[in-house]
Amino acid sequence: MNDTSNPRKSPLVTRRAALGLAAGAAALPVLAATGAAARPLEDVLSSQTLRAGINPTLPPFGLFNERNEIDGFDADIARELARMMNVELEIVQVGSPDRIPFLQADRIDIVLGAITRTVARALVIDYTIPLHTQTVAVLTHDGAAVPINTLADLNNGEVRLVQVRGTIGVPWIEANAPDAQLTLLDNYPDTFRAMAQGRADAMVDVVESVVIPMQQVQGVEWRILDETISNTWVGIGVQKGNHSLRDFLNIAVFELHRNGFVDATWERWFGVPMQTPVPLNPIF
Amino acid sequence: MQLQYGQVVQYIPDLLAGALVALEIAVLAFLAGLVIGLFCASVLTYGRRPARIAVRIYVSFFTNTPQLVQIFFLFFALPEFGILLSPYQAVLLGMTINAGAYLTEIQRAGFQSIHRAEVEAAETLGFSRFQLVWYVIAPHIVKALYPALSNHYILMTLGTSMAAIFGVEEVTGRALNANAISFRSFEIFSLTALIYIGLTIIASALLYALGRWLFRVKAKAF
Repeated sequence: MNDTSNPRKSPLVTRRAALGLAAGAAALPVLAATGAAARPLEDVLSSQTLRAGINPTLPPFGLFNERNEIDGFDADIARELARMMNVELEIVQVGSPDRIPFLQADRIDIVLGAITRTVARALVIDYTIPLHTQTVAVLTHDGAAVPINTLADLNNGEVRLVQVRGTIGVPWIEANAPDAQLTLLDNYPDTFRAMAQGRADAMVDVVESVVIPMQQVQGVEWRILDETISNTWVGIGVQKGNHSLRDFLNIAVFELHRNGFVDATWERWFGVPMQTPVPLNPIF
Repeated sequence: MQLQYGQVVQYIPDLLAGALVALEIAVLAFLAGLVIGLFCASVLTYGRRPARIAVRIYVSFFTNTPQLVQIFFLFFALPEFGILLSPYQAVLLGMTINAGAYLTEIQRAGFQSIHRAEVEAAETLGFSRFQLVWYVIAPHIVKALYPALSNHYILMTLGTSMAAIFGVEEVTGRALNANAISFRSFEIFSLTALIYIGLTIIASALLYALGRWLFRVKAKAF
């Protein structure tokens, strides 16, 4: 008689399954510790592919063009870098909250997507020299329930702010407008729609990232406060410690600044020159 | 990559507070869905033809479209018609309507599996239709369909993670926030997974206790 059909055997199977689960759980950190090491420059070259993370919901930094391919300022920069390395470019779609995890998990070699240089981020990823600058300001609309004309107007319990999770405005609001109501959404289109539908009065973000997509939301009188919050420096991100790749990119980005490629690409996508140009500095 | 759980310990109270929000949404949506489902299942069994058709349309519509899309509709499309739901309201309503449709299907099986003799006995004793459903059929459903109901509850508990997309600060939303500050993705999301496991165990225990208390069902919880 075949013993395996005996239902009484099932507790053993369960115990085995539980053991397997426990072993799997124990193995996870090991996998994470060994499997996610970044690819140094020589691995990128030998694989003939540079994997670049680009956020297509941030036009004109990243967007889907009419052929449904990821395009934009970041894509042009990434294409030029790949050309300089003489490798293929593989564009990987990333979002604001997951772009750094993608880098840490070694799903991409470099991350673009207007990733502002911050101290907190510099603890976990390495940056190249600045590729471009950005201006952080308040974006509001004439339909706002509370009129917002200065930065000080934001710190008011009546003001409803909306932000994309993980973006630079969130810590600024926590520090400077703690009284305001804050809703965190997943992506830019949702935040614009939330403001257009009267769920929110304002958001704090990078002007360059939001102006063009914001204007596509019809029927709203958008306004940017003249009083700006700060200028930020944006580099290309690589995994912490991937110095061989970063050192190459530093020189490549410097050359792209010197030969005018960055400025020309910027003007082509944004229609205006960069508000605060990146000074040309050969020492880094 | 080095794992630094010490860096994320500070987020645990915040994540646990999010777990309460998730638990609350799941409990409310499930209980409301259970009532909707019981009502719709009795309509399918005893109702007139137009009512049955209406319930059929409701069930097929909500079981054949993704829940995420349904909540997107409530959150972003309704304002175009002048109905502005808060993130919490939209998620709770969306999950309730969705749960109602699935739980209708599940509970209909309970109506079909009940013995004719039990229904006749209840009728002989002069039970009203409501009394028949509440005192005879509902306990039978809870007992016979405990695994199916329990599974759906757990799916719903995990489904509350969708709320993060709509700005409800439950576990996943808070984990994404903590991740955005600390970038300790592996540590934070493994912790989050652990919290969800805890939540589903609590969910099973709650359903078990509820079944025992309401209907004296002696079902196995695990």
